[in-house]
Amino acid sequence: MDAQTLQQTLKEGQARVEQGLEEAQQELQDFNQRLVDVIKRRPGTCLLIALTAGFLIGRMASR
Amino acid sequence: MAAPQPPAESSGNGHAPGFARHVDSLGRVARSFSQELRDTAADFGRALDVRGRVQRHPYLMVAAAAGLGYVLGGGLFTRTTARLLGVAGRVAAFPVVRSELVGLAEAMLSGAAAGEDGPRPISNQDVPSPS
Repeated sequence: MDAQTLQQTLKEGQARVEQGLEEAQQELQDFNQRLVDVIKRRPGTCLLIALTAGFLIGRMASR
Repeated sequence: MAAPQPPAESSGNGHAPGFARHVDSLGRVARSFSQELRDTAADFGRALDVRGRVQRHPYLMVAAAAGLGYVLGGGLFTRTTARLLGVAGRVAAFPVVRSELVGLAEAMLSGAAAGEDGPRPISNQDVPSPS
C-alpha cells in the first residue's frame, strides 16, 4: 500500500467518523428536545416520577 | 372546679332537631375547612410557581425532585452519598487543579525561554505543597 492510498483511506475514515459524530449529535439533540417537551407538557407527572425514583434509590442506598 | 354544665338539649321538641342542627353546623365547618385547605394549597402552589419553574428549568426541577425523593428515602447519611460527594468534589476540583498545573507549566516554560543559562533548577519554594 503506497502513501497516497493510505492517505486516501485515512481521509475516507475521517469523513465517515465525522459524519457518524454529526448524526449522533443530531440524534442526541432531538432526544433532548423531546424529553424537555415531555417534561414541560406534563410537569406534575414527571416530578412525581422523579420523586419516586429518588425515593426508591435512597431506600436502596440506605440498606 | 367548674360547675357542671346544664344539658344542651333541654328545650324544644326533643333531641332530634338539636342533633340535626349540630350535624348541619359540623357539615358547614367541614366544608369551610375544606375550602380553606383548597385555597391554601392553591396559594402555596402559586407561591412556589412549580409549573413556571419547570418551564424555565426542566432538568433542574426534575433533579431537585429526585434529590428530594432520595433524601426522603433515607439515602442522605449513607456510604453511597459519601462516595457520590467524593466523586462530585473531584470532578468540581478538576478544572481548578488543571488550570493551576497549566499556569505552573507555562511559568516554567517562559522562565526557561527567558533564562540565559538554560532552565533554572526548580527549588522547593516554587512548587506549592499539596497540603
